[in-house]
Amino acid sequence: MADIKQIPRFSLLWLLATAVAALLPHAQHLPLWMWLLVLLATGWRWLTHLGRLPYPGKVIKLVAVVLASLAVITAFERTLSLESATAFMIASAVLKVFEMRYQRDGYIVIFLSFFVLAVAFLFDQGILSALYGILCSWLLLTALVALHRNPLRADDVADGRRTASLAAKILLASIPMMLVLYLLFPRLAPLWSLNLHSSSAITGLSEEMSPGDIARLGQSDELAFRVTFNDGSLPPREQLYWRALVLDQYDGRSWKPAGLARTVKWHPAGRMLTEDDANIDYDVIQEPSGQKWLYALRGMSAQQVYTGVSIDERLVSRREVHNRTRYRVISRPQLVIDGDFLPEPWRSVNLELPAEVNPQTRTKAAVLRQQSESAEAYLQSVMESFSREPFFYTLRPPILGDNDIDDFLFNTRRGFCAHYASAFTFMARSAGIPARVVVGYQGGKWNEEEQYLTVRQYDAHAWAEAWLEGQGWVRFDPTAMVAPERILYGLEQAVADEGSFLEEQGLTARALREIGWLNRLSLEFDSLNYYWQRWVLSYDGQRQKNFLQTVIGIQDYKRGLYFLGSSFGVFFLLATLWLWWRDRPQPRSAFIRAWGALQQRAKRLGLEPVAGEAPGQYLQRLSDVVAEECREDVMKFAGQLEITLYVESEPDMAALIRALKQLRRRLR
Amino acid sequence: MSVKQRIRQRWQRWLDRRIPPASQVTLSHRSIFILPTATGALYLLMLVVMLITAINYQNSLIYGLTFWLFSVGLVAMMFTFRNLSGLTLGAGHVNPVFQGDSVGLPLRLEASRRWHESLAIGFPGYPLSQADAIPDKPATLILSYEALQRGHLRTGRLRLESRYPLGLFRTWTWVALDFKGLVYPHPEYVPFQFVAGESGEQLAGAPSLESGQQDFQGLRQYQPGDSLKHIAWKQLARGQGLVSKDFDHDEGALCWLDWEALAPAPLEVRLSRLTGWVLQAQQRNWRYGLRLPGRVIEPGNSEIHRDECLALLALYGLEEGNERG
Repeated sequence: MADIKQIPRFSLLWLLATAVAALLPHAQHLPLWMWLLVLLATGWRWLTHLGRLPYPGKVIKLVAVVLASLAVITAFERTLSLESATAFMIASAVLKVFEMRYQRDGYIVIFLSFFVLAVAFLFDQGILSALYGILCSWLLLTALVALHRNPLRADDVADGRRTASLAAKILLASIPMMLVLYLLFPRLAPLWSLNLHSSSAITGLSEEMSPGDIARLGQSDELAFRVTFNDGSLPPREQLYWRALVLDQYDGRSWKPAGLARTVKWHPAGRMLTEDDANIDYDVIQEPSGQKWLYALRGMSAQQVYTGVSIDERLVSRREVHNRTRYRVISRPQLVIDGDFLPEPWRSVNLELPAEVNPQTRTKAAVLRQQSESAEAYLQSVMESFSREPFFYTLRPPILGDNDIDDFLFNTRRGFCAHYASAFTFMARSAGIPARVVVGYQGGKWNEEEQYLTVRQYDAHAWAEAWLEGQGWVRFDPTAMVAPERILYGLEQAVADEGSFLEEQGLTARALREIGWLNRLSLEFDSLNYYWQRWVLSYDGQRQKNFLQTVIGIQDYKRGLYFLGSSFGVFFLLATLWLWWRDRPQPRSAFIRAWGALQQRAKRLGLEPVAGEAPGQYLQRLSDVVAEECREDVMKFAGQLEITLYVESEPDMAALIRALKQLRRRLR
Repeated sequence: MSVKQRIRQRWQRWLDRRIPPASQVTLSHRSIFILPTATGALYLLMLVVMLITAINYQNSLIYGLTFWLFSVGLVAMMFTFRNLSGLTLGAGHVNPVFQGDSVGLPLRLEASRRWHESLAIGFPGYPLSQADAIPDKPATLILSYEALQRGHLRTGRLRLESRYPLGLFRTWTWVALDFKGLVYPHPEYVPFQFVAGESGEQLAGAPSLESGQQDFQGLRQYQPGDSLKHIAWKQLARGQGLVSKDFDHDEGALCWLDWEALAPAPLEVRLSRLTGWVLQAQQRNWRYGLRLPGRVIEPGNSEIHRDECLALLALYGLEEGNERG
């Protein structure tokens, strides 16, 4: 019966609108032709609704399916990624919209749209996405309610409003149970490993660095990660070097990891730091990077399962970070690393240089080394040469020639951090000092009110590390010599004269940054997003365990499930009570009560009340069944009733009720 | 088969205890049944897929959406139940009908506080009617029903169901409503047969048996009670007012419609033929009386008289105890 029901006319509008609304969050990663398909399908369906076009026939449907599948396959070049799978799912949802005709098609469109909405959260989990998701869920539920309305009743605005408000009521009434489930439902580890991940390039560091790469990141204000320090205060800015990658192989053009650093000590094995005031204890909430590396300060000790410290002093994760993750780290920046002895093959790898590149630099290095009495003094004079000679820190570095370090040091002298780090490391290696390039982020924006640090892509930075006997690996940041304000205040100040900060974002975006209140608002929004991530999104298995133990006092999952079950029972009890309360018998007026008593009495004389009967009619029939001597009383009362109810402007109900009771007693 | 019947009987008895027949029923938890639908199962399947996605991608927002929609599913049960609960159904007045004819049963729907939407109502075996109950606006729905048995109208339980608002649950009830109405025997038209009266005459005034095709006499002013067939429609259409065609009918003819005249036909056949005669005699404006074993209705000619005769025929032979009333 239900399966062949047509879709009520008014609900079609809701269906079309909400199906499109659920697709909107996917706007970024869907190809343009997909929107063409959406337009075509909804347009055709709308014209069918208006009676201008017939329902698509079998042939047209088949052609549409084949074309859509072909388009998906060719657009994504037969690669299976999250985007292509999503596109395929969306294409099928849109085709369903195209051919929907019966109520069951409506169900499928709505359920698919819910799923499309859920998949959008794989791409973005920000607070705006969540709010839009709530709006969409409300619209979809409204469409689902509309799908069940009586198709015979003409629709008006009040009906639409009632439908939407009913959907809202259902959503609101579901919130308490949702919260309980969110907090208590066991957070399992992934059931199977899915290799379906976003194929779109995530803005961020890459494994290979040629000079100029990081300057490109300087144009992006996307969030990289946030940090809270567990003693609340911000460490000195010159300590905030967030390590991500160590690049120790140079091929004459770019730097990359030598691939020797596969040894990782996973938590809880590995370095243990003694309690010390110099330790920095912090939590990082990292945006998805699609990579295994994490961000931490030097001298780190991993504090979280699935994280570990690699032999070249980096924090890494067991899996690629495809979702926002949160981890705790303790670092002691003063820690001496590999102090007494640098083992092979590290020593030779960190000394290796390709033959015959940058001869000018090599010569300069040899001269300078001879003038210096120690390796440390040599490195200091290299650093000083960057501040002494006219070097410029710029986001618009010129293009370099074949011997790029020569070109940079002796010719252009304009560069971004990567140029300086690269040149410094080359100089160190030329002089026989083991050195490497470290890439990561430097600094960040401190939110004074909410006490957290926000690090964005434009905070990306590259610096150098050299190994000195007795001191181990020591950080050298030549950028600090050229542009100290980069380290102390950040990139925006460092390139303020140049005006190149975020210049690719266009004039309006930059103009908007100048407006004070807008900046404050964006800061507020940022802290809102931060709380959203810290308290809502980062709730995982471990935090759930903590929550159960500390807040509810439940030690194991079994008890947690009992708790979940009993809270369901409580909800049901409350709901039942509420339903009963809403439908409780209405308090009746004294007259209705007395009238009911009279009818009860009359039943004994064999008189059944008839629904919809006027009191006068009833009394007329009553007079037929009562004993002779009562007949007159009934008729008299009937007269009084007519007069009281229909004639008097201020009816004397009390008298009427008295007469009614009297009549009942007399009835025989 | 007999097991099936016994189960059905028990079910009916249980229903009778739980939802006793009445002329007005207000639905409550006692009378409402609820179960998930196939759509509900599909919804659950969607939630399972969503949950797996949430687990595999460790995605908090998908977890949230899944749990929210699951809660919505449970809450939908309450709302579906609420859509019937508190609704009052009442049986309206039913006009008498002939056996075998279709009768429109007026069903009153009263909502006291809130809308009860998208209700499907009907007797088993009949198409369901769609209706909404709007607060403070009682509405009457006409349900078609075939009267198969003469006597007091006895309808079975009527089914009321709804999937509103989300279609994940179906809630229904079987209501026994007392529709007070009479079902006259099915009229069978056969030539009149008369038995000799007490004084031996066949029929005072002796109407011709071919009577009914009488001669046209002229027009006269319409009087209340004139048959619709005798109204001069042409004249009415010309704007000459309501006038009746006057026939040379057997005004004042008197006859007795007698049970015994139909011997030896079986009871129901005799009742059918008597019904046919009553209708014909009334149409011809005869004065007619009805004689049944143990019951006699003196001759007369009026609508009331006719209804009295038909009611007697309708209820004849049905024991008082069996009748509801």
